[in-house]
Amino acid sequence: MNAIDQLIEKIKETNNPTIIGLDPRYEMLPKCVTSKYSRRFRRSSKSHH
Amino acid sequence: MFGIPGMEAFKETCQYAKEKGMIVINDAKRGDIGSTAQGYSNAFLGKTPIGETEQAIYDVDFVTVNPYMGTDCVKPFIEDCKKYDKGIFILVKTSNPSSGELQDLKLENGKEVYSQVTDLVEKWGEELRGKYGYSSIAAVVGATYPEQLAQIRKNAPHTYFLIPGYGAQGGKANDIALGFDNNGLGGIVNASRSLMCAYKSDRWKDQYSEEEYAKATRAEALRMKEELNVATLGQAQSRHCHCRCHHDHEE
Repeated sequence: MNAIDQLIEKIKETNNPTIIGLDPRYEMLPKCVTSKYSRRFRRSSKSHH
Repeated sequence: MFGIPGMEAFKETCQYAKEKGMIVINDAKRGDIGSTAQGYSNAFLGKTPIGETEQAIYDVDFVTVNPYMGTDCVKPFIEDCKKYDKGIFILVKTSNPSSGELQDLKLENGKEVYSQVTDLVEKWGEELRGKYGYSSIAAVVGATYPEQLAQIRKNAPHTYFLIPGYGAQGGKANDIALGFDNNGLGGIVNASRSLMCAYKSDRWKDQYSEEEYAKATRAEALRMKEELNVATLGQAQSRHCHCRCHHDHEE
């Protein structure tokens, strides 16, 4: 199905024209999440060096 | 921002959202010469040829595209939209403070740059119009410039809008409603900070702890949905009223 038709049908079905924007800057993430994944974040910061 | 693990998390997040029945829009704002644009389009919308095979990489539903480099740079995306039933949102009038520096400039033909881009988007989208009259070639128009939002809605009746700028950036529901049509369609509204950080907001911080961040996001999302639906319905009704009044005068 045409992509915009799919989008419109989802909007009608949920009566909800909103997008939840994921902007995962470190300071925006809850500490209970970042602490759980601290090893992964360290790996991430290492790959920049 | 987070390097290779960030790319992995991005891919997993896209897949997870799709499994949950959500439509995924990658706000990558891509724009490059034709062959490179084709590469981006392969990665996000279509498939990448690898040896004898073709592989879907991120496989999202929509991607945002920067039209600054012109038709040949947007075309690879449009062709993949046709081939794979995907869509794009093209930057027309962005929500950021400096967006007028270039986008509001008047051209020799009397139009602003964003109006010229609006016309191009309508034209590029002609072949991809669906049953509601809107095209899969859509536009990004910010909530922070309501006059332009209303003007672009009037000039682009077949173009769906991705409307950023609600919440933290200052766009109000009544402004956003100007981007919708009389059937309550025409726009999809993004909020990032106000949803992700709902657990920290004055409105929700007393009700939800940090561990309940997901519940706080849900509560804020439902509140936002109600507020937008009231505003878009009000907008549609006031347009119907103007229309009726106009006819009354004619009679």
